[in-house]
Amino acid sequence: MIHLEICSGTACYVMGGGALLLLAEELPADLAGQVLVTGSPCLELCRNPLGDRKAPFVKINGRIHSSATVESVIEALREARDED
Amino acid sequence: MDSRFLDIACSQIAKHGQRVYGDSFLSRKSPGGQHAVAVLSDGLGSGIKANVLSTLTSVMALKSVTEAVSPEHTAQLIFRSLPVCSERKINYATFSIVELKGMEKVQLVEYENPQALIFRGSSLFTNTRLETIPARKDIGRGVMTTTCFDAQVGDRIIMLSDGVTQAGLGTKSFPLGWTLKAVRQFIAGMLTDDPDISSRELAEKVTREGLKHDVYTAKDDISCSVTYIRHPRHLILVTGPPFHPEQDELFAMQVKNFDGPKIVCGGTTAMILSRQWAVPLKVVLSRRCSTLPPESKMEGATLVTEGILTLARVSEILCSKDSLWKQESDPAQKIVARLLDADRITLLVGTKINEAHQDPNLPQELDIRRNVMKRIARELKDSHLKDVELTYM
Ligand code: FES
Repeated sequence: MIHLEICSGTACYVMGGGALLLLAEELPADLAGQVLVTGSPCLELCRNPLGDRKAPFVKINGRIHSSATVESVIEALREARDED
Repeated sequence: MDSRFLDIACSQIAKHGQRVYGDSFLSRKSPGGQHAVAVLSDGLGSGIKANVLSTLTSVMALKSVTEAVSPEHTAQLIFRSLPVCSERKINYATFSIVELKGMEKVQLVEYENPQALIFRGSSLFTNTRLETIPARKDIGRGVMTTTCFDAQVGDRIIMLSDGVTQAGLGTKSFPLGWTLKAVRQFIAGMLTDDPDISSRELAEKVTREGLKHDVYTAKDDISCSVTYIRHPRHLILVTGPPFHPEQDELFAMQVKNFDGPKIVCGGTTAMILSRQWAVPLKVVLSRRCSTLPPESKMEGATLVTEGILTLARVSEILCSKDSLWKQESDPAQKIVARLLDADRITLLVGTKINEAHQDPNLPQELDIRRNVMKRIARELKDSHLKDVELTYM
């Protein structure tokens, strides 16, 4: 099972993270059933400068993804699945 | 005296086809909340003209009673200054004024409105001193009634416009209208079923029932106001982490020990409480609202939401004058519903600067927690007559 943690905190939300929350309800067929989606009130990444990594943030199996979009997250989820 | 709170609310429905209410309701509490005045006035006719007449009357009544002129004298003042309809020889506006002094001494002055209903618990209270005098000798009509009594916790004073008592007039089911007697029975039923019903809810139940009798096309302006003397309901809303992280523990204790519903706005704030209380915090991803970040759940907190975006929306809803309680599905609406149900509200604002919002790429708007909270406090106090305590930590 892949764990996808989506940040729904203010900084991530205003930077476009709101759209990512859709992933909790809809995943492409090839990923459905293989991903556990949870939310986080703030992944605490927004306040610690991470170089040029920017909100919105998600974590996939604990690994940080920045500037996340629905497409980039789906891609990263597939990678994580294939790594397993 | 036992601790008392005045819950004052009014519900209005405009006559069908009119954009404004022909009835006008105003109320004001003294700064400490010990004294209060509420006025319901019904202007002749409907629409703008009626609205101007009733507003004029209620503003005058409110101002005068607030300036310590007795309701009786105030009534005379209104009679002297407001015109009489030249054709129909009637006053341009009817009114009811209720004044509460020290949360106890009630004086009710009524002119040509349906008689106000006084309930003690769920039964009609009639043990009052009543005095009726001819109101306007000049036009030789109308009586003014003055009612005095000592209020107890659990008493309600309900003022109605004739749009309520005459609702359904001429229909098969209500040839004589809803009538004061039937309205009284309806309210008694409501109070038996739900003895703690808030003023807002009760007033809305009455006007909606009136509208139903009018077959959903209001034939007149329908207004009902409720003044309810009860024990205060407390609520706390916290947002923002304390300025010094060493205060986190104290902050968490203070929130935990608060006796009443607890609303937490802000991810970091919620995380501090979750850590200190040692309870899990979970974002609710299902049933999302599309315009605000989702709610979270945490044992010990009534409601957990995101911070500034949600609070900005709360302030917007509180400031907008139209119906506030339409849908309670989004987190901001839920907060508003809770706030409006409480009497004494503690707003605890943490002042730690949110590093996240110092990012120049983020909208500036985000750094305004304090201002938003000030606005919410002001709106709750001024427009919704709540006791509000705003503290920074
Ligand atoms: S809001 Fe997403 S990491 Fe803080």
